Amino acid sequence: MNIVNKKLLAKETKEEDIVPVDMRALFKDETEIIPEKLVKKYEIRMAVKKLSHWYGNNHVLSGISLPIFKNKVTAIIGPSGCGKSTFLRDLNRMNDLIKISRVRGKVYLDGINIYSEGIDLIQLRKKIGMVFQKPNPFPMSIRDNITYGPIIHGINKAYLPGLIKSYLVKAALWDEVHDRLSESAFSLSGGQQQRLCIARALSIEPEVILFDEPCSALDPHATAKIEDLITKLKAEYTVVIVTHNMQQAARVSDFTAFFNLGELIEFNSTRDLFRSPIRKITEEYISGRFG
Amino acid sequence: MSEQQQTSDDLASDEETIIAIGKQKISFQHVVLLLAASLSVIIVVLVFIFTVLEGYRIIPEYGFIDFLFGHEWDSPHEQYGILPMIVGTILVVLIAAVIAIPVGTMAAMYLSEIAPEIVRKIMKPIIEILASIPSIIYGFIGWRTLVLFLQNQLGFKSGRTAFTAGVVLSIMILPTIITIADDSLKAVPRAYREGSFALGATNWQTIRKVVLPASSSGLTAAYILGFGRAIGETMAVYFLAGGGKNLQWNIFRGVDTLTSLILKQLPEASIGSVEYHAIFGAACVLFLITFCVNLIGDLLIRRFSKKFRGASK
Ligand SMILES: Nc1ncnc2c1ncn2[C@@H]1O[C@H](COP(=O)(O)OP(=O)(O)OP(=O)(O)O)[C@@H](O)[C@H]1O
Ligand SMILES: [Mg+2]
Repeated sequence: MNIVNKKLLAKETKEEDIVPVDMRALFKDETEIIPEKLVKKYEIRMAVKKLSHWYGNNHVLSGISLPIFKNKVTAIIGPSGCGKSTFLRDLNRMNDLIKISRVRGKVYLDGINIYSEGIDLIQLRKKIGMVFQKPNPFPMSIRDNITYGPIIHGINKAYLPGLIKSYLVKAALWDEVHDRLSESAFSLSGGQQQRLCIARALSIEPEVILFDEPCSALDPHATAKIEDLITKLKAEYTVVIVTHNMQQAARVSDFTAFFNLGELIEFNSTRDLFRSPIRKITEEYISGRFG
Repeated sequence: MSEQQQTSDDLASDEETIIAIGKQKISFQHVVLLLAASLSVIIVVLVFIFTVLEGYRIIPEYGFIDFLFGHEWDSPHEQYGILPMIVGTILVVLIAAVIAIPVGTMAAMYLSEIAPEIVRKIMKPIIEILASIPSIIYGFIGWRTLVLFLQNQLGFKSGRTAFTAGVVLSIMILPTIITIADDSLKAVPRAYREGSFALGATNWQTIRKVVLPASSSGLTAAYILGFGRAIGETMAVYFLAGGGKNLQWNIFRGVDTLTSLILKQLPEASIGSVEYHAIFGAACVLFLITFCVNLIGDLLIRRFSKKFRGASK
């Protein structure tokens, strides 16, 4: 399904008028921060162009331009309060729920600007799933948590039993819960709840998945499981993950973006960014000297 | 003296010393405040004891079964069955609930989930004022509008019926239901709503399938406390329900409720008579019902808040 909804367009605009842009071209004038060779080499799934964000008068993001490569894991790192979550929530327009939010700039998904008119937020969020910092399963059974998304999107109920299993398997949770699907999701441990939330996010067949510090409430063992899962997910999905944890970024991501005070300071392949950061402040941050 | 050498007597006296340090001298002001605080408790207990002491005598004097399940209250013939009033109470309260529960729930959903902040800020205090209007005014307006409408437009012999009282009562309990239901909807964590929106749900799907079920025990508490208020309401019901001392189930006829019975009969009964004890017996039944209803409501509210404390670990 297309994220552009004809019904939401103004009369004089036609769906054909909304032509996908060439996302590579967007980064021609951004080579100072976005290495040219990466843009040439990898396929771009989402592109953020000069994105600024305000909460009321609080200017939280300024002029962020960033490519998100297809079937790769992109990590967003940076000190607390630098706008990582805000950035992530701008990617599936979750910030629309916060009344004082204002944005300027563009975010492209497959070349279509998701902030242009005619965007169907339901289809958009169906394509771009999200996992939150704190596990937030619904107060329902494990089974109902998984079937919630498919049911609201009108799936034929005959498929549900098979789907429940396949998503729980994908989220590496099936073995632990297959005999207690009717129990409350709150009966699970924190790490299990987070994997349930991942399964729930997968249940709507998204193409991009956003993770906002998915392990910050978990112990090392549960964290390892989720990291393992994320590296597996990139075969099928494009992943963006916000993390506080430098080792985590190094372990799971292919690309890393370092934010500070609402600006994108440095972006590179994770290996290069950690091995030879260009900016001094990046080096200080990843070596733990500030932040 | 080392600790091992202490005898048990020493320990006890040590304990006493420690308590004495924490003790404060009880001042005159403390006593006054304590009395003020105790006053309401003492009165409740006294009222309860008085009601039960007067009311239980109907059992030896008239018989428990005859009293509770008798089909007729007829003072001249010394018939004191309160089943008609129990049924009348149930009819009136059910009608009120059937109207107030859906309307109150929808109003709370609007206020909590949809209304812009400014609308909410204006409407909530107004709804709370609704709760503070004296019930006789509701009774009077109900009479002026609904009773006369039934009589003059629809040709009822009397517009004072269980239905009339129930409709007006529903308006009277709406503030209770809306306020508590709104609070319980607002208490649903934002994380649930965000989780739902992130799956591509609409606002309405989120309200219906996540927010409402998540606040179900809070909503039930709202209904039950509304019930409690409806059962105890006297003036408006006295004014509007008409009255009928024989057992009948027709909502378009007059009924008496437990409260209106007490209000009507008490001035006529001579103190210490069987009728007097029967009236207090009815009060005991009323006491018991409202007590149970409030207890259930309280328990549900407590369970509700615990659920979210547990969930947000
Ligand atoms: N809903 C909101 N309303 C107003 N201001 C907000 C809101 N959410 C975030 N902010 C502000 O925006 C700034 C960036 O917040 P954000 O949550 O994006 O930072 P972050 O990098 O994710 O931080 P952390 O690492 O602590 O999660 C902060 O100054 C914060 O106070
Ligand atoms: Mg954050």
